[in-house]
Parts: sequence; C-alpha cells; structure tokens
Amino acid sequence: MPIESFISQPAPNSIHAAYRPIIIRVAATKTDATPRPPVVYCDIYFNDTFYKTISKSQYTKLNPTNTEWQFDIQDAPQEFLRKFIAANGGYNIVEGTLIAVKVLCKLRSSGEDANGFIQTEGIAPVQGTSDIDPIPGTGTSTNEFFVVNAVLQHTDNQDLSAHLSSYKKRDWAESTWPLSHRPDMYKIGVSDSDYFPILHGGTSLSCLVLHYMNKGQNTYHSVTNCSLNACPIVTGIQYGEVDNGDGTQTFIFTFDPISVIVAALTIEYRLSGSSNLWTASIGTIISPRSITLPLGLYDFRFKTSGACTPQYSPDIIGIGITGAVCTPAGFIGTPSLPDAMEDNAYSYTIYLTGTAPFSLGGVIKPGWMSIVITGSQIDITGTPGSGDVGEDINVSFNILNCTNDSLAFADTIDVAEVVGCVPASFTDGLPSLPDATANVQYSFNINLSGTAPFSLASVVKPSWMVIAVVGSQIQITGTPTEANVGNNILVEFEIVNCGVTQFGFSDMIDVEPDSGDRHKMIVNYTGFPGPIALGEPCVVDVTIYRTAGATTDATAAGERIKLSFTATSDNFCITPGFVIFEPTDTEKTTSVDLTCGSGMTCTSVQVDLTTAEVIP
Amino acid sequence: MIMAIAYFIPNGPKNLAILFPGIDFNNVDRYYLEVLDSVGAVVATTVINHIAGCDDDDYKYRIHFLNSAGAIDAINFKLLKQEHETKSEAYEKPLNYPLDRPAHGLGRTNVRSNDTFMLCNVDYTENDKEWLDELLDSPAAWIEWKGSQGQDDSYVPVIIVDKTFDKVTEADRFNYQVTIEIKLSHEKFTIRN
Repeated sequence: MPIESFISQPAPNSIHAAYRPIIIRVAATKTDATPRPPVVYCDIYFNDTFYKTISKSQYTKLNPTNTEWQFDIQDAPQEFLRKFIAANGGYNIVEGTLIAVKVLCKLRSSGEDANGFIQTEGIAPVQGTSDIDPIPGTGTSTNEFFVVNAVLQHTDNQDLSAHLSSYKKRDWAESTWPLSHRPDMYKIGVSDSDYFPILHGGTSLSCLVLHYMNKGQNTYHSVTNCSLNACPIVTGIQYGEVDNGDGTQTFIFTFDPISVIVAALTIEYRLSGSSNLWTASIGTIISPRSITLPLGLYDFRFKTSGACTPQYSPDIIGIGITGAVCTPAGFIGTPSLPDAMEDNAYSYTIYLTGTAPFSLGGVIKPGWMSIVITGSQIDITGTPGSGDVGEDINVSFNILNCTNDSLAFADTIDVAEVVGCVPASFTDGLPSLPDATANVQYSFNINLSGTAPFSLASVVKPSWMVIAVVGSQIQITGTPTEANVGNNILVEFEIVNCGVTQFGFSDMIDVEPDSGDRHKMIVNYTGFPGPIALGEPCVVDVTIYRTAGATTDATAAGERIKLSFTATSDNFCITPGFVIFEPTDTEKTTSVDLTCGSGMTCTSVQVDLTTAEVIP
Repeated sequence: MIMAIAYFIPNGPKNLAILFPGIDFNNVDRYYLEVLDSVGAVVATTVINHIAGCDDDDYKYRIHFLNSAGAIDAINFKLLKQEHETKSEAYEKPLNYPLDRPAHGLGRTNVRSNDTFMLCNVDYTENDKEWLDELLDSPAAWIEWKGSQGQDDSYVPVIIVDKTFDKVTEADRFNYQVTIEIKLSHEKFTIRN
C-alpha cells in the first residue's frame, strides 16, 4: 500500500477557515514498497468534483520504512471560494454559494517504470473544461471536511467551530454557526435591507420566528412564518409524446435534478385553450415523469412544493398529438329505464354519441344490476331477486369521455313482485289494424289490461313500422313510403308480462299507394232520398263528405277545394255540379236537378267525382 | 452532517416586512429572529437588532461589507462630506491654416472622475471595536442603491479608503466616533472625441 496511513488530517465533517493552514500529512512508500516515492500527489476535490492536484517531490521526514509527506491545501479553497451578497430587500433564505465547500483529498504515491520515468499510482483525475466534465481519479481519500471563506486572526481560536461558537447568542444547534461577529444591539434602520449569515449543516430551514419588542415596552412578542423559502422552479423541461393507438397519448417529461427541499412535484395540465381548472398529477421529483391522457393538445405547468413556497414553471402551451376532435358524450334518443320484475332477466341498452372511449363514474345502482360499457353502448342487465322488490330505486351514473367531460344519467325503476301479477289482455277486444297509405302518418294504439310492465317478443313487422310499449299501451306508428306499398303485410308479436309470454297477436295490413295528388278527395254520397216517384221532377239533394286524410291535407294548407261531380239519372240525363269546401268544412249538401227534358222522370241517381281542385 | 451550507437569513425590516406583513416596524424598538428547521427545532438565533441610529435617507449610507467569516455585515453611516474629484490628461495639437476658430488647441483627454464620501458613525462603542476593524479592513464593500430608471434596488460596490483610525483615545471616550472614507468602485468616464 503506497499510501500507508494518515498522520494528520482534518476530522470528519469539521469546518476550517480557508485562510489558515489545512494540513494533510501521510506516510507513503514507493509503489515498489521502498520508503521513498519520487512524487506524492494530493488530488483536491471540491463538492465531489476534482479541482486540482498538489504534488510534492520532497518528503518532510524520512523514516526507516516510509517517508512522511505534508500538504497544506489552503491555496486551493482560497482560489475557489468567493464572496456573495444576497439581493437587496429579498425575503427568502438565500444559499450563499461558494462561501463554504466540501473538501476531500485523494492521495497517490508513485514509482518508476523500467525506463526510469515516473509512474503514478492509480488513475490520475482530469480537470474539467468548458465542454468536458472533470473525470475523477483514484487514490486514498482523506476524511470529508468543510472549508469556509473565512480568516482566523492570530489571537482567535484556531478551531473555526470553537471560534464561531463563541459568537452564538441564545439558542443554536450544535452544527450551526453564525458567520458574523456582529454585536447584540446591531443598529438597523426601519427601511434597511439586511441578512444574518449562518453556516448550517442540518436539515432544511423551514420557519422564521420574529421576536419583537415595541417601543416603550419591555416584553417580546412573537410571530412565525413557515413559508419563507421559495421552492426552486423546475428547469430544463423537455418532453415527448407517444400515441398509444387507443385514443390516448403518453407524455414523457424530463427535467433537471430538483433540490431535495422539494417534497413533491405536481404536473398540472388542462386542454389547451380551455379555461378548465388545472388537473394535478402529483408525483416524485425524479425525472422522468409520464402522464397518459386522451389525444389532444394540452397545456402543462410544473409546481414544486414542500417546506417552501410553491413555485410554478412557465406554462408549456399546446403540446400533444391531435387525434379526432373529442366530442363530448350524448344520448341517442331519451333513455328511460323500464321497470323490472322479480326473478325476471332485465336488460336495457343506452346508446351514446361522442368520441370513445367512454367510462363510468359515480355509479349508483342496486346490487343485482350490472352496468357495462361496450364501445358506445351501455348495457344494463341483471335479474332482481325477491329481496330486490321495491319502488323508485335510484340508478344514476356519469358517462366520462374526452377530458373532464361528463354526461349525467339518472332514473328510477320499480321492481315488481311476481305474486299477484295479472296476465295481459286486450282492453278493447281483439284489435284490427287499419290499412296504411304511403306518405301518410300511420298511428294505432292497442290498450292492454293486466299488471305492468308489458313487453313484446317475436315481433314481425315491416321496417317502417315502430311498435313500442308505453305503460299499458302498444303504440304502432310509422310512415310508409311508396316503396312500402303492398298487400297482406304481416304484423305479429307476442305480449309478455308477469315473466311469461301470455298470447300472440297477428294481423295483416295493406299499404295503399299515394296517388301523388295531394288534393284528391274521396267522395261518398249519401242522402239520396230514395226512389223518386214517377212523374216528379228529378231533383235530388246530394251530401258530399271529405275523407279524414283529405280534410287534414286541405286544412293544413289552408286551401279551399272545389269538388266537381256529375249526377246521372236512369233517364240518361247527366248533370254536372260542384261544391266548395272551406278549410274547416267536412260535408256539403247541394241540390241537383236531373230533369233533362219535359216530363222526364227518374227512379235512381248516381253521383261520380270528376275533379277536385284548389281554388283561391 | 451532510453538507455545511452558508445561508443568509432575511434580517432587515425591509426584508421582514414582506414575511411579517402584520408588524409595523416603525413601532418596533428591537427584535431578533429564530430559525427553525423542518422539525421545528431552533437551529440559529440572530443577534438583537436595534432599530436606531442614522435613518435620514438623504444622508444615510448603509455599507455592506465582507466580514472576516466570509459573509456580509452592514453598518449605517451618516454622510459628512461628498467630494467629486476629476482627473484628466492634456494634449496639444497644431492649429489649422486657415484658422478654424472653434477648433481646440489644448485639449483634455482621458477624463475620469470619482466621488469620495466621508462618513461617520456614532452608534457603536469601544466594545465593538474588533468588529468595526472588519469593516475598516474589508476587501469588499457595497452601498445600497435605490433602483432608478426602472431598475430594482441593488448595491453599488465601493472601496474603503486606507486610513489611520483612532481606535481608542483617552479623550472623548463616551463619544465613540467611527469615520471612514469610501470611493465608488467604478469611476465615471467621458466621451473622447
């Protein structure tokens, strides 16, 4: 071992003045174990970074088996340390950089190679340059100690710790010292800036307690402030985004190392350009940090907090991968939960609009019910048991998508008991479905009796037709088009309640074509007074009705309709006539003279529609 | 001890007014601060600060100086006299023909000037003379500078002029007067042509 022992060195963690000798004395041998190495090196490290090497080629003392070498390293910290003045009027505890430094030396011996050149022991360190960091070397380390940019006079205690401790007034921790000799009753003006310098080797400083005595009093009052230290602001933030292919992206942030004063690093974000509240992601201060969010552009900011006043980094505006613009969730139609029945399978589906993926939050539901989102639909299923019977059972949840967008759903359901259930029946006897007309709204209701809820099964119907159960009524609606025109179209379903299929219903309807003339009037005539007596003039009163559909059309348009007809008697007399329907009229009576010649009589008459036209 | 670090604890009324907005320092006679660590233990206590001495802003010069422990102390002084000293060199150049009447013959060049402030303090006593030595011997000192032209308050570096100081005299022992001279660390300079 070429460096055999330390004869003198600073004690571990001791503090020293830079302007007094700092002595390191070692016993060393040459690398070939002879007593006298040609050179001994002392590599000085400040704050664990190599600073410079001091070398000696002349020993201090020659011993039988080794030589003693003494180094005074005071020049190095004198070069390295600097004066520091804190900002005028600042209110944070400020770290006085380069007033004190952690020091250690690594000592290396040497020998000679075969050619007589000096060969150092171990690896020599390399000083840093503007582009290259210093490279540490090897060697035998001294204790770690601290050097302060201080001077000790001849009469001062040469132990800096003891010297500074003698200036401690009132309460002090053992490893904290004042870096000032200022006296008590230190004069200060009411608008003056001042700092009290200390050297501190413990945990972080958190609070200031101000003890003050007002003029004319003789007691101190106290106030405390524990948020005096501004946390450091995160610097060197760099980021990247990864598209996860499922509508989300992962942001990866790297940043410069953060002081351990900071207990937590909160990354806050919101959709770029929005005025949403910031969402916080709290985590460690170790770089990197990642956050997974739906696709889109976001703003970010970094907040440091801990035993210090929280500080924010400048906002990072509008970063991220833009996918499709995220559309907030919406419902298709107005979902309304049907009631359930004990021991009967329950199933209801809510269809959603908006950008997937969706998720559920704040779900309130009975225990038997299962609510699952698959793609853009919410399936609500389950089978209530006998213990689940009840009324006004709350089912509610929020549908979440995009960022922070939610759609609320709330409804109540009843779970009916099976016992006492009355089977379904038609209230008004067996219904018969009316025929439909193309382009005319079709509507027909079938009333049911029995215990709700009712449902339909095995439904057969044309595509234009909608059959829904609302309460105790089956509502059949829809509007067929010309393409749906046909005869004998089957409409068939089974009616279910009390958990069983009660009976089936089947009927056929025709869909009549729409002639395309919206003003066509279908005319029935009645009121023909019966056979006319022989020899009587052939004058009859004709009453003409408009069909319900035609009335609706004409009224809706506010149109007046002129209806022309011919009346034909059995004496071959044909007489034209017309009536005018006001929009609200439904029937008109007119008198027609079918007497075409003198003495002509008739015993029957027929009225035929010729034209129907809109008139002003 | 993980790391011995020098900290500057805010200690002046200007600094503390921000931390303790409820305190009106105009009413305070004296105060001191305790510094607590993260577990609430007192790690350091300042000296007692006494709001006293020269506080006339027009004539007050607060000198912050590098003390012997490598940190900064400050003392308020009253301005006794401020001198402005100008130094220059002369040159002579030949006259033109025909005569250019406004042209200089003898000229002044390399004009530099500086202010010297004579300052006085009577706040301290002989008991504090060793500490006052640190001011007189300090290699670096600053006066406070009130921000102007849109700049923040800061410091202006000054040089303490060498002198002999009557540290203790038999006469006038109850009126301990410290008189120093300072010069600005940056001379003024002027236009050459």
